[in-house]
Amino acid sequence: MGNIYTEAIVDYYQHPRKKGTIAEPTAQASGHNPSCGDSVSIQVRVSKGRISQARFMGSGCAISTAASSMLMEKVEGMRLSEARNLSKKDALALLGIGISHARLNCALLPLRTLKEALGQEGGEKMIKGPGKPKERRS
Amino acid sequence: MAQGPPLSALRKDFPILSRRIDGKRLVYLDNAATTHKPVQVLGRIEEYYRRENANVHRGMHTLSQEATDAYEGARERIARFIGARSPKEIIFTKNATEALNLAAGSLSELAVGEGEKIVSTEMEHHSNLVPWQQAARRHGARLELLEVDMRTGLLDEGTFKEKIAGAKIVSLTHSSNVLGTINPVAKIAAMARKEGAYVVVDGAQSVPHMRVDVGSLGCDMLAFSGHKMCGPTGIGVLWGKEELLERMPPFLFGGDMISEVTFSGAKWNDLPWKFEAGTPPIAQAIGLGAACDYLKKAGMGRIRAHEMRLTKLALSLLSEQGDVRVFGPADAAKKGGVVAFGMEGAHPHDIAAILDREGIAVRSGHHCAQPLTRKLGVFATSRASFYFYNTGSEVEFFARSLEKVRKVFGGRRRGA
Repeated sequence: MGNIYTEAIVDYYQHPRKKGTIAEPTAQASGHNPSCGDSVSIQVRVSKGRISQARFMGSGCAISTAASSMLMEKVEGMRLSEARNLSKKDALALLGIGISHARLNCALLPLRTLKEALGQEGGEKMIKGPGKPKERRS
Repeated sequence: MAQGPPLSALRKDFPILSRRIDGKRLVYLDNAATTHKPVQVLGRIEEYYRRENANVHRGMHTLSQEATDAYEGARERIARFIGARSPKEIIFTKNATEALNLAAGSLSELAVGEGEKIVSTEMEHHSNLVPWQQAARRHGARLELLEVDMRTGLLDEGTFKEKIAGAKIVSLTHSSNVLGTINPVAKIAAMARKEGAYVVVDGAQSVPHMRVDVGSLGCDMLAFSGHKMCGPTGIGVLWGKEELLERMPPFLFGGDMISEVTFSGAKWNDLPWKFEAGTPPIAQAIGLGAACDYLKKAGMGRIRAHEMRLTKLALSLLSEQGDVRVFGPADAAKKGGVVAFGMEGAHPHDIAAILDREGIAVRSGHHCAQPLTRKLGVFATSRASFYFYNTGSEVEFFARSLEKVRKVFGGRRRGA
C-alpha cells in the first residue's frame, strides 16, 4: 500500500473546498458510516438538468473529507444524468491514491450520499422548508 | 502470586508477535479487541482435532467420551479460574455478547415486570446496553443509567442510591472498553442486593486482565469472552449462581438442552446444558480451558501489575504531548490497560492508519460504545490497549510514533 496521505489529500482535508450549505437546495441527503461514526450531508441545487451547486458538511477522516470535497468540485456544473452514472471507480479515481478495503467506506460514503440525494424526485424540485435530510447507512 | 520468569519472557509463546508489518516489527496494542494465542492454546486445539474430535455427550464410543471429558474438563478449569462454586454454573456461549443476551433475555423474563426498573451505566459496550433496552421494551419496564462523571471518567457515585432504589436488575461493566475505568462492582452489588435486585457484570475487559472472583464481586451473573484472554474466537462464558440458573427459563431451544421431548412439549435438561442448545463450540471451550491454565501460571496478579505499569507509562508520555487528549481516568490504578485518545487536527482513523505504517496496531472508532463516545464530545477515538506480553519499549515507541501523525498533518507538538 503506497502513501495515501499525499499532499493533495492532506490539503483537501485541511482546506476543504465546497464545504458549506446551500440556501435553497433542490435535493439533499445524509450518510453515516456506523463503523467509525463519520457522517456527511450533501446538498445540491439542480436546474435545467444540471447541478449548478453542490456542497457538503460533516465530520470525517482525511480520506472521507477529501473524497467529499473532490466529488463536490467534480459534480458542480455536471449534467444530472452524468452525475447519476458516476461509478465507484470514478469516485476513487478522484482521490488519486490506492484505497485499501478498510478505507473503502470512507472513500465511497460521499458518492453513496450524493446518489441518494440525486435519487429523490429528480433532484430538481425545490425542498420546502428546512428539509430533513434522509438518513442513509453505508 | 505466581513466581516465575518475567512476563516479557512469555512473548516467545506467541508466534504472531514476531511478525513484521511491511518490514516493521509488529507492536500489537489492540488487545481490548482481541488478544493473541500462545502455542499452548494453539497446540491444545490442534491436539483435540487430531486425537479426540467427536461430538460430545451421549456417545458410547471412545472418541466421544474423550471429547466429552475434555469439554467438561474445560468447564471445570474455567469455573476454578473465576472462583465459581460448581462447573454447573458455567454456561458456554459463542461470545460475551451472546452471554449478555442470554442474561438479559432470560433473567428479565424471570425478574422484570411492567413499570419496573432495570439499571445499567453510560459506559457500556453496546452488548450490555442494547439487550437491556430490548428487555425493558418487551416487559414494559424502564432502563435507567448510572452516569459517567466526565471530569474523572468514573461513575458518579452520588447518584447510585437514587438510581438503584427499586431496581430489579443492575447490569454493568467491570471495566470500560473505552475509558478503561474499573467500576466499584462489589459496592454497587451490595447496594443492589439490599434492593433485592440481581446483578449482572460484563467482565469482557476484566476477567482477562485481573483476578476476578465471583464470590468477592458479589454478583449473580458474569459474562466474558474467550478470545480476549488468549483463547480462540467462538467461545464466551456466562457464569450464574446455580439457584438462579435453575429458575431461569432456557434461552435457545433444540438438541442437548432437553431431557425429554414429546410431540407436544419438552422438559429441560439439567444445568448447565439447559442453556446449551445444539452442538457446542467444543474445540473452542477446550482452547479456553488451556488459556485459563496459561493465565493462571503467568499469574493474574502479575498481569494486572504489569499492565498498570504500562498504562501509567502511556498516560505519562501522552500527557507530555499538549495536542493529545486522553479520555478516562488519569490514574492507572483506577483503570485497566486501555488508553483512548484524540489528537488535534487528526481524525482517529488517520491516526490508526499512520501508526499502522510503523507496525503499530491500535483501533479507532466508537468501540461499540456510541452513546458514550458522543458524550465525550467526539465522533470517534483512537485506542491503545495492552496485555501482559506488551513491553515498556513498545509503549514508548507508540507514544514517539505520534510524531509521524503530526508530520503528515503539519501539527506541532506542544508541551502539556
